[in-house]
Amino acid sequence: MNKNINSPYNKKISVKSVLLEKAVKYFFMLNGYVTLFLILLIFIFLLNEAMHGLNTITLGEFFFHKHQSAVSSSYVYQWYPTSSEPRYSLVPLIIGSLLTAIPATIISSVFGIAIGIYLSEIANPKLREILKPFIELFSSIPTVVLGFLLLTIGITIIGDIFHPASRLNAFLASIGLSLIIIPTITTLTEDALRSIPNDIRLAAYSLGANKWQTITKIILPAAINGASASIILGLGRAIGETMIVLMATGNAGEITINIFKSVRTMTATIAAEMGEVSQSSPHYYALFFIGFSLFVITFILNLIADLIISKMKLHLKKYDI
Amino acid sequence: MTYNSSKILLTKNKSLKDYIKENFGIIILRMLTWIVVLIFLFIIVIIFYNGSDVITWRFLLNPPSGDPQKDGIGIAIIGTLAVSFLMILLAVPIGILSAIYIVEYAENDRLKKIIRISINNLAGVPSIVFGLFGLGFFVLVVGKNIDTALSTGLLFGKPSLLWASATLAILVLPTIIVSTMESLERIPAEQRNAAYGLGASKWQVIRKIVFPQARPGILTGVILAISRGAGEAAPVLFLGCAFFLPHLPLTYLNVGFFSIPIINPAEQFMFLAYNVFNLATQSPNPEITLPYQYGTVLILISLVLIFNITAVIFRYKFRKILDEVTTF
Amino acid sequence: MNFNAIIILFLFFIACSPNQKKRETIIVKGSDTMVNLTRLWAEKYMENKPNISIQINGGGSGTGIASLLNGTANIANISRELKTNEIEKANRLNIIPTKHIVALDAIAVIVNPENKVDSLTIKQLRDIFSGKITNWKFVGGIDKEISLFGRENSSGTYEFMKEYVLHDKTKNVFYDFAPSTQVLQGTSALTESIRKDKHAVGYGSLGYFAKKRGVKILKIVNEQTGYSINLMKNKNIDYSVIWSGKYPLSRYLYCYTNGESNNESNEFIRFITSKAGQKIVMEMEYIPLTAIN
Repeated sequence: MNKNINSPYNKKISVKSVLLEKAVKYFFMLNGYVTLFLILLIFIFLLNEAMHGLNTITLGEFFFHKHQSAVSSSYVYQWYPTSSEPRYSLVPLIIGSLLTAIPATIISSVFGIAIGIYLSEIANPKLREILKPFIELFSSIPTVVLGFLLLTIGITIIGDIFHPASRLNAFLASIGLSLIIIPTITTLTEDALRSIPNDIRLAAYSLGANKWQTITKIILPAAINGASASIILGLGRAIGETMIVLMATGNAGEITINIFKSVRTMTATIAAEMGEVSQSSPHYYALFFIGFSLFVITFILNLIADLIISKMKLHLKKYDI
Repeated sequence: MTYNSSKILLTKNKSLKDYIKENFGIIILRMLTWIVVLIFLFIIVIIFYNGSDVITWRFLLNPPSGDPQKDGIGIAIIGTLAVSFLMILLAVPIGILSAIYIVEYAENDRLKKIIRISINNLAGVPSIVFGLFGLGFFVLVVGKNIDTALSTGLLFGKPSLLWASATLAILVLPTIIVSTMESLERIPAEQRNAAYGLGASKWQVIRKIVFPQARPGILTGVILAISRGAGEAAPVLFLGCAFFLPHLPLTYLNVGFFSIPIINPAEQFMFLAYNVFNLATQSPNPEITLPYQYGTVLILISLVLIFNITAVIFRYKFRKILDEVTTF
Repeated sequence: MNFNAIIILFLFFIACSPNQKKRETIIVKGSDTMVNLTRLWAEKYMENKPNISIQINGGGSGTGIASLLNGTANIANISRELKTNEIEKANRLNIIPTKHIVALDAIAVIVNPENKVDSLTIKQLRDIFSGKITNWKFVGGIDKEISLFGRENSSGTYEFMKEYVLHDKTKNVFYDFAPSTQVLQGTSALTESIRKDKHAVGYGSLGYFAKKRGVKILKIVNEQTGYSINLMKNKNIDYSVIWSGKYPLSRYLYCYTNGESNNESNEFIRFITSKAGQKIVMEMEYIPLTAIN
């Protein structure tokens, strides 16, 4: 917009100041690319370490090989890097991550979208001014604090209500995870709803729709992209969260689909085992391989959310007259 | 933005079923909202209720101790502040310059888009992955190589406050860039154009017009970044967090006659968030130490919330000022 | 500007610190079992030595060894003996790990007090922790599924259980922990969980459990003689069964240093093994090396 405005005094500018301008520009440019540089650096570094891991442990070992169970004749996927015959299957860890992240995403989608609609369409402006920052404030609560509360209070509450198979379980962790994702989903949903022009609402009302009909039939479909992007971002956050799952899942590396059982997630595995491994051992590189996988998973999820949001912005432009 | 007028117009034609349906849905939404608000309030209240009893000067200032009567979190508080400070020192200049480039200089739309995507993705990288990166890259690659190059023995090639701060700096960089960009974009184009019209160069416009006005917005980002970094435990797990430090890790800078003590960035440090994790899982006597655990949590959460609320207020004021500028 | 305020505040904090002398630092890293004990040793030691600063890190015995090898620790707290491959690795790096025995520790197997089971044999323990026995009814309890609690694999307790319980010496087979074991960070989290789970079983240092209400320490049955060995006598630790070696699940706790080079570290270890140091061992409900008094 203001890029190429030439001042009438341009000609009087000395060589020195032109050089300064150039230097400043390139200096800024160098910094401008820093995030791009960092994300590439992290990617390449993790990839490099993960490839080292693949020298000793194959992809097949990470994903497909089953090992005989110690107690029965069946073959199962196992993560057991410290055993006398180490086993490096990521399957139990991936299932563990999903078993905490998916319930958390479902819970927080229900609450997050409901709150988003409530704040944008129903709550009176004064209440919204208070509630919105309050809920957003919660995304800043350190996750270790939530982990602590789950261990001291959450565990008793969940234990009394559900009588879970294990006291520390995937469900307990997903409660904690949903508390940190709800603000994200709320904010993005609310933004998406508020970016829908008022004329559309008024048009719906004038056609005889009531508020509930307007919300469900007109507003929500228009904001569905924003809401789904927020859910994907929430899923990414849930998969990547460490402290809550480290403290609340119980970290048992058993394959299960019972959310009331203890599971071991990818992030918690890194956190619990990184301190112990000796450098350049297969176990060390295996942990980097997990880190690399986490990076790729969250990167893809973020990219999808990004695409949806930018598409939505294009779509909404159509409403502008 | 409530549409009461439309309600009045339409009430007469509504069937009872529709009426119930409408209100039922809205009541559900209201209920879900208040459930979450109450849970959040419950969390804050329970921390304050259980933690406030143990907060004394002794608890805030003393070094840690196995004896609950003497135990304190002074060193952990200072450690947290020192890490945040160094983190800000590393992240802020880069973040601000980066944002200025994107908003003021970058012309290629596709490039801008790629940078934006990379910012969003950097913000989405799991914090534990930053920890891995910090240990693997900063400590074992950068640090070790600096040690070999300068033959400093084992100074940089070990987990320390410096590398923890550097790792957290990457973690909070997107926060700083995004809020700086936001505040730069809010400055009306007319002001820039007016300055250009008076013959100012781009650099002059940035320095004299854009930056001074954007400063409160940038400060908001900085404060938000501190509150984010101070609460992250996962990335620093293997980056030099200590269980127990009896004294501050000090080193002395000699300036003329004075010997100024500074926190040694090559040393281990204590960190409140890590302390919370340790206390919750490592304490030998949970019954006795539980109030102290809540006390530590209370201090950590107060630190984070105070920074956060300050940032929110700052942003609110900043927007108001800019609105006044644009409307007149 | 506002940044100045932050800097001033920061300098203020620094100026507040009363320490002006340069201190000798001893960095201790390693076993989580020993962090609380070491902290108490360090506090008592530093009372008389104001010029020494002892920094302590947990993270597990594995962390301790790694730090000793890469030179980031002066003392490694390790709750087992070094393995031969670890010593070889150290020697390749010109490090001579020197062993100092500092205390004794007994691993106690604990259950919820409501559990009817009082004693188990090592074989039964092996079957329970490897997942072969999954119900209390097979070991004399009620018909309920056993919930297993354990420690993460960087803890010395984990290694110890692997070596002494899960290792079938007659067949020379190492069993693995059952994948259903819930892995907890730290013994206190484990105690809390067992206190609240009626069908739980877990293990950890006796020091943690000795005076805890809400957990029951199991007697270990000697398979040959059929005697059950009780760690507790009238609610106190019965040291004699550990010193005499009758209790099968006891171990030494070690501090490893690199050679004898660092005087400060050696002096600290000398304090630990002195009478005053061993008294602290007893205070923390670990087992001193010999009888005191």
